[in-house]
Amino acid sequence: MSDKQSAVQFYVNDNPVSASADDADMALVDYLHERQNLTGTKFCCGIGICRACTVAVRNQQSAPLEKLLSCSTPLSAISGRRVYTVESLAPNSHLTPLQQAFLKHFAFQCGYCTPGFLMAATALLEHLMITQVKESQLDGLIEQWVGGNICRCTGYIRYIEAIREVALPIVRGVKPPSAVSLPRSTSEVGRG
Amino acid sequence: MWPLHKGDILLGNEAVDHHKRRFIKTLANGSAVGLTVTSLPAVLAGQSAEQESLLSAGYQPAWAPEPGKAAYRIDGLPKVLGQKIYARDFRARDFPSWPDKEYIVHPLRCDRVDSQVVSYNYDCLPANLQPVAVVDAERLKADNMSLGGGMSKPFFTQLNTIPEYYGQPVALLIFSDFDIYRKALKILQFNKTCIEYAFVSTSQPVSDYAPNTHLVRDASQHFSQVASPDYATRYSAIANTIRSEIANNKNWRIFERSFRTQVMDPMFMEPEAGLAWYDANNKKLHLLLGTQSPTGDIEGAAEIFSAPDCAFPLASDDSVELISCYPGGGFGGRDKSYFTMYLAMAAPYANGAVLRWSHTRFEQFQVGLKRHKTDFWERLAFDRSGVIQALDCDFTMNGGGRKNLSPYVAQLAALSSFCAYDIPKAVATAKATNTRDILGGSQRGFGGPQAFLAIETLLDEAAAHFKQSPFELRRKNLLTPSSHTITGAPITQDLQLTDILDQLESHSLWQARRKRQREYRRKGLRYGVGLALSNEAYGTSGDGMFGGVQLNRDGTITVRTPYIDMGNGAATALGLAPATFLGLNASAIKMGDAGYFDALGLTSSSGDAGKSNYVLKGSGSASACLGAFYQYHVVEQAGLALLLTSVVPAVAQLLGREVLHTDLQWQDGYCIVGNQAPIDWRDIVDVIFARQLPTYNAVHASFVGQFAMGKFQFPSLGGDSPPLTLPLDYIAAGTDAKNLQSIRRLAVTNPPPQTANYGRSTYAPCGALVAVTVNPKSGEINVRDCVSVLSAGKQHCTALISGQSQGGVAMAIGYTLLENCPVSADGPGNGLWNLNRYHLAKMADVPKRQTLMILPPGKGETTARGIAEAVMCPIPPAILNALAMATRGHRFTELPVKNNHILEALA
Repeated sequence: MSDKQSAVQFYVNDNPVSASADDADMALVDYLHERQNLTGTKFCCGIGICRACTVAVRNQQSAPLEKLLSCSTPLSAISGRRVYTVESLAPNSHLTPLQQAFLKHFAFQCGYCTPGFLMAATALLEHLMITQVKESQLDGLIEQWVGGNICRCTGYIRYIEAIREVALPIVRGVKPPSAVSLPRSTSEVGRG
Repeated sequence: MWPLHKGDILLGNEAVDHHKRRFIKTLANGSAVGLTVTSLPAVLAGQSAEQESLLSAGYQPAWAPEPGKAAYRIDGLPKVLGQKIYARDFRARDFPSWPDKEYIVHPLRCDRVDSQVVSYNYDCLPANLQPVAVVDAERLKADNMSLGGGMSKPFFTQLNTIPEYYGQPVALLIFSDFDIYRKALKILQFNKTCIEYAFVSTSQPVSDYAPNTHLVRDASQHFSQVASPDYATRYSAIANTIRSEIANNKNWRIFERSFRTQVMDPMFMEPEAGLAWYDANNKKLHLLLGTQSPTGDIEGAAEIFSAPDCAFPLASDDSVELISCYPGGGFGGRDKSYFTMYLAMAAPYANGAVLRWSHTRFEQFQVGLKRHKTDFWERLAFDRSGVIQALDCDFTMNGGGRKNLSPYVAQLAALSSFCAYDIPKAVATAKATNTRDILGGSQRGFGGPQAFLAIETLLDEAAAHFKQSPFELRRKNLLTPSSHTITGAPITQDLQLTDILDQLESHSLWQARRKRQREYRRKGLRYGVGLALSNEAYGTSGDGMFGGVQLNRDGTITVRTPYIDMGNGAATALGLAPATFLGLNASAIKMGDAGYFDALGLTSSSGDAGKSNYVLKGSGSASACLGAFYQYHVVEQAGLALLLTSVVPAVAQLLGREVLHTDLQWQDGYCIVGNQAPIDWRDIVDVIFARQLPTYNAVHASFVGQFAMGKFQFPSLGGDSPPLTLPLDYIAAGTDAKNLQSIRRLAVTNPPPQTANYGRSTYAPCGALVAVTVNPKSGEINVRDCVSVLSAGKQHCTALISGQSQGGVAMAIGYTLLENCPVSADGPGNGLWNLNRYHLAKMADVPKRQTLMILPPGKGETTARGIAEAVMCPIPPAILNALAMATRGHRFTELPVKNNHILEALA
């Protein structure tokens, strides 16, 4: 793709990608599915309510992770940003503590909402690492960061228990940040 | 911990099962078709990542390192890794033997049922966004395409006719690639100019979907469906007698109410999606789907192409192949869904390309199967002491524009009308109506929730009248071991109803309810605690089931089953089943593997009753309630079959003497036989493969009130060994998947004929206390706490049961307080509904302090009960009973209960 055609450039899981002007209004979830063959991010309602499509983003290289609804975010809105999907977890073929906890707690059932919960909770964990939070505030923060994600199967309790198990040591200051954080790449946006 | 192994977890070119077994079906028109249903191994590919750890941990897989115990779900790894496992994840390019080219469908759907469709158009699309093909009623007629999957109404609304239901398409537009589709969708979606209507009438004809249900029992006359051969000629007169007595008996106190419950969307998270490819060269249809009914779906798909002069013929020996994916939720909504039929029908019009069809959520709300709008009433007659003497009830469910399973859902409402109580005289009628409204079908509880709502709220009302505790009144009326159901079927299980009530009554949530009510009152809130029981039946009135195990050369076990895991944990439970007899959990499981079993060619046609391949009941759909008892049973027995055909002779060879299968015990990957030195499983496997003993098997069982019992002669056990009687009616085994030979069945004892009239008669009782607060100023309702007590029998995996319970509570909260699909023109039938208008329980809506008490198995009980539906069922009436306490006795009879209803009640 030539520079002229590459209207939007950003990163997906630390890989630089370029999208054409024709795709600039495409929803990020469609781009991930159709252009990148990354189908771990799920389409459910398509209007930004269920949050099954949640991905994590960094606005800048050094910025903290934020949640983003990929079904209702056009590519034009993520130009220059760093998008992380569920496929970016399990670095070096090892599950993240959050993935482990989701398994151990039988947190999900059909699993279709799981990538959205994973990415929202991953962003929460990074927030906890850079923010002074009292232990008593943790449940409220879990609800604030993940409470909008809909799960039809589980009733949420096992998700909450799994996230709390991973988050609590961070709040208490006993968990090294690297154990739960997504990488902050140093590479630049490529010229597709 | 949790190492993954490079290359093992990704979908590769070998993702599709190449060990397919084809089966031949004769369609209604007499034509024979060869069908293949395969599981998608990639669904559980994560398990193959664990081979290393498997070999170092007593041959157990990492997901279940102890026999019969799961550390996490067998399907867990692919789900936390975001692998392609759902139908919506796949593209044509994922299948090397398919064309890469994909066409994409958008249907033009009708949003009115009061008008004729005059015409349709897509003139709004510019030239570069035009479809490459258009399919409508005329085109199907010209191509001699038939209906399939039990459809009685056409695929499309024909011009100058009124749509059969909201959302029926008038045409399919097929686009040549995703980019054109994406742009065209922006113009077509919600576009009112595409279909022109001419108003006809706001009224619509209403008829019934057969069969209607009439259940009548009069214990005083020993009259019931089971006990009375002349039931069909007498039930109507006896019903009239019972109703007359209810009306006239001055000694009885009658409690009577009418109820109305709403349409509920299953709202499984993955909108239906799939791929279809009509291979014209080989006259074969390929389908990829997430469905609860793969066997029925593939047969229905074949029916569509079965006309002799169909423009798209199918080869007779190799006609349709269905790849069964993991469904992203189901709850019944994917059981005989019409999506499959539409996808199959549309496939040939993609002109050789693969057709992709992915519902938007708007479409899923418009045409997905729903829980029915139900109008019902119930009269309960008590004597002066509070003992129920008679019941009269009626359920009318709006089935919408296609029949689906609606009359059978209504039937279960009538069948469930006793709940957990012994009622000597009863009349229960039920029907599903044929309307033009949104489509009704199966959904969690299958008619039970409506029945329990009626009787459990009336019981609380009666308890207040009799000035008895709701516990005491219920105890007076509980089913006992000598009771009978409304059909006259015996109670064959220890239902543990008294234990359930005892546990709930002693719980602090009940004991402290008045104190808490005062505390909340001081905060300006009204508080109530409600009790309810449910007695949800699991299974259907007669079930056939298949299971199989496969011994792999590396010593691992693969479970094969036609059953589907919708998230309820069936794959995990079935993966544990081989441990009972083999000491080893499965490393992998192939779900939806219907073709493997259908190739056995079993028949349940009564005309074949004398044949060696006859079994009483064929295999049906994948209702969640069938897993723990029925499907687990056959996989467990398949493990026993492998033990008998292969493991026992191998062990005998290694020991140099004969052994009985009952002598074998398992410990840490070793077989223990008496005082002999432990035998390494690897050595047993080596002998099995060296001697070419069977490594694949498939078994079948039939259950109608009880299991059919077969007497089998296993040649592997030696010629003089006595035959074994097992709760199976067919066993086959072999050294590869395509050549299974039946084990000689000497005799089979089927359940006695009267069991055919039992109806569903296996139960998973559940009781619940629910605490709510209401804000008298805003009407806001909050569910504060929930305690459930469940009779689950043997537990396969406690975490799965707990998860089902918590999910059931959340769904029930939605049903009772939040969710509502109006059937009218401003409901989801208009194609404009999504989660902005349909509200289900979010994290903030569910109580975080839920308690689930699972009772230990009843006396002599060695099996599990199907609990996936049971755990939801007592919650709605418990909430209504709690609201009655909170509102000083107001009885809500319509769902959902909203803030304005509370304000009206408190006004």
